[in-house]
Amino acid sequence: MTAATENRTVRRNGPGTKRADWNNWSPLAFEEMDSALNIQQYIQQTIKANPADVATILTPPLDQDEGVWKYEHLRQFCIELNGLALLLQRECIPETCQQMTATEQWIFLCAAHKNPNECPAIDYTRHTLDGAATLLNSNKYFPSRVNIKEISISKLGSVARRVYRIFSHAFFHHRKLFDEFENETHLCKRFTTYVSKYNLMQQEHLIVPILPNQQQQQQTTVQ
Amino acid sequence: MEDASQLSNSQNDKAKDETTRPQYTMSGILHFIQHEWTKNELDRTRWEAERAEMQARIAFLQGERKGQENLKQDLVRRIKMLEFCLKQERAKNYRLTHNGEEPPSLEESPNENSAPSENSHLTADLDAYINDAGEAGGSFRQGRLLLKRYLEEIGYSEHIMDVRSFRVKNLLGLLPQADLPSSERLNGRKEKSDSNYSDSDDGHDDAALDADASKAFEEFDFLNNMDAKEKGSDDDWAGKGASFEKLIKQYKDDPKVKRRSRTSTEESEEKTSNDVQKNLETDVPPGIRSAIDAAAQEELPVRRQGRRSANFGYGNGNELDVALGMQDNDNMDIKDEFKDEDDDPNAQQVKWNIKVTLRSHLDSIRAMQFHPVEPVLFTASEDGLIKLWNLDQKKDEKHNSGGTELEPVYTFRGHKGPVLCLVLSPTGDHLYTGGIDGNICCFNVPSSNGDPFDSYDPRVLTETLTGHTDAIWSVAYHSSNSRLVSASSDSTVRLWEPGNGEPLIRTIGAPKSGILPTSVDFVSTETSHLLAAYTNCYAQIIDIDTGSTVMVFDFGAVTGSPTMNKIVSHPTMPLTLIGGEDRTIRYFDNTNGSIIHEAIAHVEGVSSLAIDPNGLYLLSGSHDGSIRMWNMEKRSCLQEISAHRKKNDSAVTSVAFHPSRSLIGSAGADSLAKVYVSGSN
Repeated sequence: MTAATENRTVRRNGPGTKRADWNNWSPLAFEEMDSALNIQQYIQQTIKANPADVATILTPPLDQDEGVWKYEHLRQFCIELNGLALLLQRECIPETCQQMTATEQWIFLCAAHKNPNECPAIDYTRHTLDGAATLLNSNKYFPSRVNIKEISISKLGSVARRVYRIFSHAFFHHRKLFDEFENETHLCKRFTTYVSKYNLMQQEHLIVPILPNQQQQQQTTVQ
Repeated sequence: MEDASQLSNSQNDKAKDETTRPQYTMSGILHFIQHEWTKNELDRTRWEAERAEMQARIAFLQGERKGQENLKQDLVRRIKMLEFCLKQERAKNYRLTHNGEEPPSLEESPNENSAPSENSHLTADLDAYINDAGEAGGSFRQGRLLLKRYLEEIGYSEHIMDVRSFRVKNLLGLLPQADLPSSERLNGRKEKSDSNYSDSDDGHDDAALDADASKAFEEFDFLNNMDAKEKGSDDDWAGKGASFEKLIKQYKDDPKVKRRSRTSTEESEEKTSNDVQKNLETDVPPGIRSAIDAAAQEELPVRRQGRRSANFGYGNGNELDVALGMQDNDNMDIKDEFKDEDDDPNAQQVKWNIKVTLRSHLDSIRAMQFHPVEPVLFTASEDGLIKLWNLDQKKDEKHNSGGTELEPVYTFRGHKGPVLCLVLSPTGDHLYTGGIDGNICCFNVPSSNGDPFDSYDPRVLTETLTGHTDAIWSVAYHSSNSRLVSASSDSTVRLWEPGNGEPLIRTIGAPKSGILPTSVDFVSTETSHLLAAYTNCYAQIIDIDTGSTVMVFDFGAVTGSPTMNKIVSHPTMPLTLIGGEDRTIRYFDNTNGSIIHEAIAHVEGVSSLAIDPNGLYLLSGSHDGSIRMWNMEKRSCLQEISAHRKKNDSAVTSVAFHPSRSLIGSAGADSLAKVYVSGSN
């Protein structure tokens, strides 16, 4: 090893890294992150530090461009939602969940198809996550991860609205699985806080009572 | 009248005289006058007509002249436009070839451009001079800022940062010279060849350099050489760039020339500085400029001046080098010459250009592999997904996802958390992936022409092999007996037979405590032998039938205990290649375990290696963000591609050759995968 590599921590998960040592390096101040993907690094670093600390995770660094901040967070949600999709893949089968529903009020149509399709819940989940990954990587809407066009930011809302249905379906139809996932990742809590903070979804659509004020509301309203 | 004539003779005579003269009668005179007048009138009208004709002609000619002038003006404007474009292109090319450095005289081009009329030429020229003089002024800084922002956008900032930090470390004496990033050394080379003369003047030679540094120099040197050529070949200057290189070599070859140039230096000093000025005005990258000059004149002062102008452009670097007392290394030049003569012309023609960038993963891609036959690619990512890409995919209008980009045909879900490695069966029908969750997923590969939004078929995931207790970092598939081997950070290498009721066949522990397997591959020449690389600079050949060690590779003296990141077997020879975290690629002989060749191949750790199916070329990927194509026999670098951006300290994570098509690929921490085609196609 050269002096250069000895002098500093190499933040790299090289082959042979144990699971416990994954991303396990001393945190780097945001100002020190000089790569173009610094926001993703920063978000993943704060999540790694404590996934339950939603407020800290959602607090942007000083002078951070809000568009990029929202974009990278949504990207991170989609990454972590793959974990929930994997769990659903086990027990959410077309025989039991023929349609994508949460409460009985709505049947969600899958927007991945040219003509919105009434996909079974598991397909809706997979298609929505794949479609979100494609959209978030689209050269047309998100050619850069450093600067994001104002017009593309509106796309974030629709992605958020669609992926939220995965939470709501899991909550209302696969509660055990949902709780297992939520206890580990606090993802639904973080997501609900995120969309509320940045006004990406209307409050009445946030039907999973995960935040304290939502739980109160649910108790007071008769459904 | 008759009476009058008879009156007297004299009178008669007189009258007779008068009659002999022409008879002027009134009518005659009138007639004459009339005749003359009409004649005059005729002439006059003819002249009038002629005059009108001439006037028309004049008008026509004047019109024609005007037309010509317009045409000329238009052409001049076009020329200016083209000149401007050319300058922009050159500036762009310059920035590319010199790692984002500002072209030495960017400022003046707008001036020239804004002065298309002849009247303002004088002021334009003056402006140019003024700008040259005040180059360090505000406009320069502004331009730099703009450029920096632009570079940040395209991801060059890291490179610049790296270069800068290397410079600083250099200054502090923390690094051996060899640690300069290659791009930096490319710039530095001209400076060095310059300082060469004064060095040899003092009778200074390079014995001062320690062996390690000079070895590294050699390695980097031919890389630089290749760099320059490749980048040159991207544009119209290809030929010129090459001839420039060649001329430099010829020039260095000739000791007489060397001496002469030294003596002529002082005399041409003044002239040189003028010429530098001239070079700067014309806004041509100095290297190319000097190549043109040299090709045209082959005069030494001109060559000299080319170098001078190069130095001028990189004033900073040169000063630093001088301050450090950095010397030229003659080995470098020797290697250059050797390289050029020896180089296979065919090999030079094959250049890889990007074909497509695959954007769909949301986090670092960890592994990639091509289908054995089809133009199909598999990528595995830290976002927990494995994607199947059909590179020949026809874009259909069935889907709503928008854009004309290539989208994955199928997304495999099976791992909780990052997927770290993947391998395909030799037929391409089965896919095996290992993840941080310690599981191996066995997938049936669906049709590469399927609908990405088809309904979920649980039969795609046929089996999950459980047993490892920690992250799985490498999987390899035996080409003939459908056995799978996996390396995990639980310190074991395991042999599996998927589809068997009891799939786990053998567990092979680490040969020493505290070292973990990182990478496995089967030996192509010995079917029962397995290659395994480990952390702490260790690698061995294992007999899969017994699980015992056949051979331990002898690394010799290695400072520290760098992790060996990737081990690959040569497809036809008993040869093993290992890429290490210590930037080195090592070639081992399988028969005796000895090291055949080792070389520092990258600026940062080598993360991945791939060998083409014929065993002629090696592709390496590194955390310095680049991939490099190597000639295996000559161990020379044929091409370097700056491929991926950094996330944390990772950049390129995987490289691959298509087993039967002329395609290569790279994948990186920036969530992108790239596919390249060879330029000769």
